[in-house]
Amino acid sequence: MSALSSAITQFVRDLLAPPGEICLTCGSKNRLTREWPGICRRCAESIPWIGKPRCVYCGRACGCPDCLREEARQRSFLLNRSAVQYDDMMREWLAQYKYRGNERYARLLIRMISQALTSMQKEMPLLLGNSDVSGPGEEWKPDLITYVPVSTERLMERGFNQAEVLAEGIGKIHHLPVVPLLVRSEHTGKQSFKTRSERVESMKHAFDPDLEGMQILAHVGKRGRSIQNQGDAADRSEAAGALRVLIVDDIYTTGSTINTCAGRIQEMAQYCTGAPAEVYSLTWARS
Amino acid sequence: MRIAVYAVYMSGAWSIRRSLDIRVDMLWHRQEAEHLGCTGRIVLLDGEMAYGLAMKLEQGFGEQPGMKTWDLARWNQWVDEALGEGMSGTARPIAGKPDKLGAQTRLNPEVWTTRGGILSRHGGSSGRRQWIWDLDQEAPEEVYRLLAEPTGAGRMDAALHTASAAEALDRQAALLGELLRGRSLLAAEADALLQETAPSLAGAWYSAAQLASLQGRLALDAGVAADARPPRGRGPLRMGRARLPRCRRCGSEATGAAACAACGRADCAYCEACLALGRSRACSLLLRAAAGGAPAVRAAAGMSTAAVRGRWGLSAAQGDAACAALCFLAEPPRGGSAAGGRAWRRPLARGAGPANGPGGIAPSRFLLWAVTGAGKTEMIFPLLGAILEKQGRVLVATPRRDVVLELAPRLAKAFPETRIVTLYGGSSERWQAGELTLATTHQLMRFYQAFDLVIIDELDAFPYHNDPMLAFAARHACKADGKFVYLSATPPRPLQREAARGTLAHARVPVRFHGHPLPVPRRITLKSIEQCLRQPMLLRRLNDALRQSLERDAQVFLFVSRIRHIDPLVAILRRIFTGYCVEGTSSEDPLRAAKVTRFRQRDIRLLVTTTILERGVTVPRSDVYIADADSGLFDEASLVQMAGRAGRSSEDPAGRVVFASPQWTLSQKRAVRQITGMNRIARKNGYLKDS
Repeated sequence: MSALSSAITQFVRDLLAPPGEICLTCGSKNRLTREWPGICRRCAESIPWIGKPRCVYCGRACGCPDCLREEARQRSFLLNRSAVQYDDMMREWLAQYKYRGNERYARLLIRMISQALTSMQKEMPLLLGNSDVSGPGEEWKPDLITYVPVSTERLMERGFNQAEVLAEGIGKIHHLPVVPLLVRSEHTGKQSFKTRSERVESMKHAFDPDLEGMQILAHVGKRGRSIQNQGDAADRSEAAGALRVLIVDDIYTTGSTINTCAGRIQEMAQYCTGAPAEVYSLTWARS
Repeated sequence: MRIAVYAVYMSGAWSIRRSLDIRVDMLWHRQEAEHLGCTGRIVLLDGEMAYGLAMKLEQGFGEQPGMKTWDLARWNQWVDEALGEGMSGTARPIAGKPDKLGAQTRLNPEVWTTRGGILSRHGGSSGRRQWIWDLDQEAPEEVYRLLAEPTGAGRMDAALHTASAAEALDRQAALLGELLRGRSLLAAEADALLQETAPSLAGAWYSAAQLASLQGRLALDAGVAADARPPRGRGPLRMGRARLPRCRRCGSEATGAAACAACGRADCAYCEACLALGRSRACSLLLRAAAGGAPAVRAAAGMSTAAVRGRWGLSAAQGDAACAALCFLAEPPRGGSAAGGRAWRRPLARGAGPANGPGGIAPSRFLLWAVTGAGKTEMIFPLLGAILEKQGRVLVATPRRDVVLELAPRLAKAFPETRIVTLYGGSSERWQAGELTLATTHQLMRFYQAFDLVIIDELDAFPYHNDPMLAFAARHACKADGKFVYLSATPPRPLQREAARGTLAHARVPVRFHGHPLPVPRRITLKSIEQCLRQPMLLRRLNDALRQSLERDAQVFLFVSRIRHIDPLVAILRRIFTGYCVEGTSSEDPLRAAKVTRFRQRDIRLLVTTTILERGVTVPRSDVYIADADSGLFDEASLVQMAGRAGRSSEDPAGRVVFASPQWTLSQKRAVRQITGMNRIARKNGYLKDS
């Protein structure tokens, strides 16, 4: 009898309970926000957005000694932008998604990084100083999106590549092609267990070109850029003629992963299209 | 993961099997056919099928007439039919692989953003590989090719058809079976266990696991799968509900689904309830000890009460209850009592999952209902001793980690000869095996039919209460004919009713170890705290009582129902009781532990708190006040537990308990009735000192 009666009282309680759903991140029962899928207002308001990056190179919200170093000038990518600062709460979110495998976070993280891409699109013309050339109607956008690959072993273990999911997500929202350009050539071990110098060292040989990606790159390089090249002034032709690649990852710490990937993409672009590419980086969090 | 699937005809019947290493199966079945002297046939349906689909194929299999004459095309047709809608789209990337090279000629971004291309890149690179082998005839060429070519990851490298390799594999299978006895582990967890206990097997145990499963030492299950039983009509209420697959580890419905690179399905289901222990999904391998191991051991009968009391130093009331429990442990197993009081209730119970065990035998249960401060921990020692001396395995499960850490040294002292394993989140002994296991509740999910006796402490406390997942885990951790002992001061009402009705074996310990009666709550009428905070004068009646307590030199607990009431109430009380230190603490307070210590040291005299301190805190010479005792957040159990904080020491056994509320509710009435009832039983049995 008790099971039946408790089922009935539970049903009645559910009917009478105030509206609301369980918040994905804090677990409280609350009204969820519309703009950020699955989370309540309180959680949404405490997201540490990087509204205005202090460092124009790496997109850090605070001053950045790394980008003032000599070797930072030699980087293979132009700049990085991140959606949020990597604080304890964001660390927990990413851990829930990446390590625990709670894939309900995917939609939320995609929306967040998509927001970052939108503000990047607003910022770019001003930063590059070519707003007068392209005109107000034309927005800055990359020719293609790619992502940082993970090793096959990790992929099998985890079931997904978080960077790929983010890239596919923003590709769909912003109508941009997503092309896997790289594959992980060896198992480098978890980045989070390493020191800075170890990371830089282990990164050097971690990525190989993806053959299918190469072919696509060659095709896009020829076709996509030939149209724009025609009207450009001679002194800007080199920059404008370059292929614009946006590389996506979940977190930017020292930038060595992104830098290595960008270096590889530069080589590939040089080989396929005869010109270096402009590589930009977009990450979900900046530590 | 992906796995080989084949159909096999043996001793007159067809069956569908999954295989981690198809070579092991081929050799096994050929040997069996030779041994039995009968004909057999193996049809390899798919060398690499998504694990979830393979499970579905195996579960939905029914023999059809004429299967012996089917060719590969007919088998393929059958597979397609059996998998039904699960086959379409990205579920089978080999068939529907989007051609990325073709796509670039169109240069349509949309094509690239589909997941299909990625899935096929990491999913099945080789196409379907199939053959039919009549075991009494020469094997087809593909079989030889399979035996000769290099093996995949996780499998044994040697040529298995040689005698030495077969022997080595047999040894490995036996070892694996032994190491995984009583376990229920996902592949990743099993690998972690082997890393620690048998490094030679780690990372290369697929072949051994396959042999062990053919030998019946091990069951290869899926992390998430549909119930094995066909859906039967369960009344009109059940019909409309979609039947989700269930997590085989925790018994919850698997509510999540996502594209999975490991098996290549676009909707690989996963369990969101037990994510904390590593993700259990439709394509993850769940290794389990085979059901039906050795029968559970029973305690020796016929220990006298005096002997038990003398050996373990128990009081009269404790000794009587322990003896009743010992008699229960000596009883032969009975059928089906763990499923609830009456048979017809069973279908309604949530989290049912697979059947309890062979023949419907379920562990039998015993409730040890001991009042707060009775000394429950001492009483479990004789029970542990009785099973351990018969070489049985025992589990003590408790909801809190600090209890595990506190209990471990005491048990180690009481049982110096026994290997004790303590398990909690982040414990270093995770993969060790011992006769006595002390664990927090979630760790139970890693066991399967492992224990002869399972003792569950504080059954009504937070993680167990109303959590079908932990009930499922506890049931699975115990052997089918094993025993459950529940410990509680405040059993949930269904259990109380069963005990009263006589369907649940139980023993009561109605008195505290010091032999004084429990303090009976007194009632004072007080407006709700909400209102009192606005008009502090209304608190006067409570203040008078509090002053009396403070003046008689008692430590005062003041329980409130809401965290937000604590700070304003502390501010008011500080103004009134200027000579005493007043503090407040709650679950949101980072200094909680420090404040409790200061309260124990009589540094803080009045502590305003919530139900977080209702259990497990012993402060000598304390009085308890419960404001808003009519709040719905305080049920009978928590009122009894809070009242149980008073008068616990033998120096001051008559602490005061006060329920302050504007209304007299059913919960309060029942709590008082439970306390007076226990006192009455104690007096009647002559356990009280002053009677």
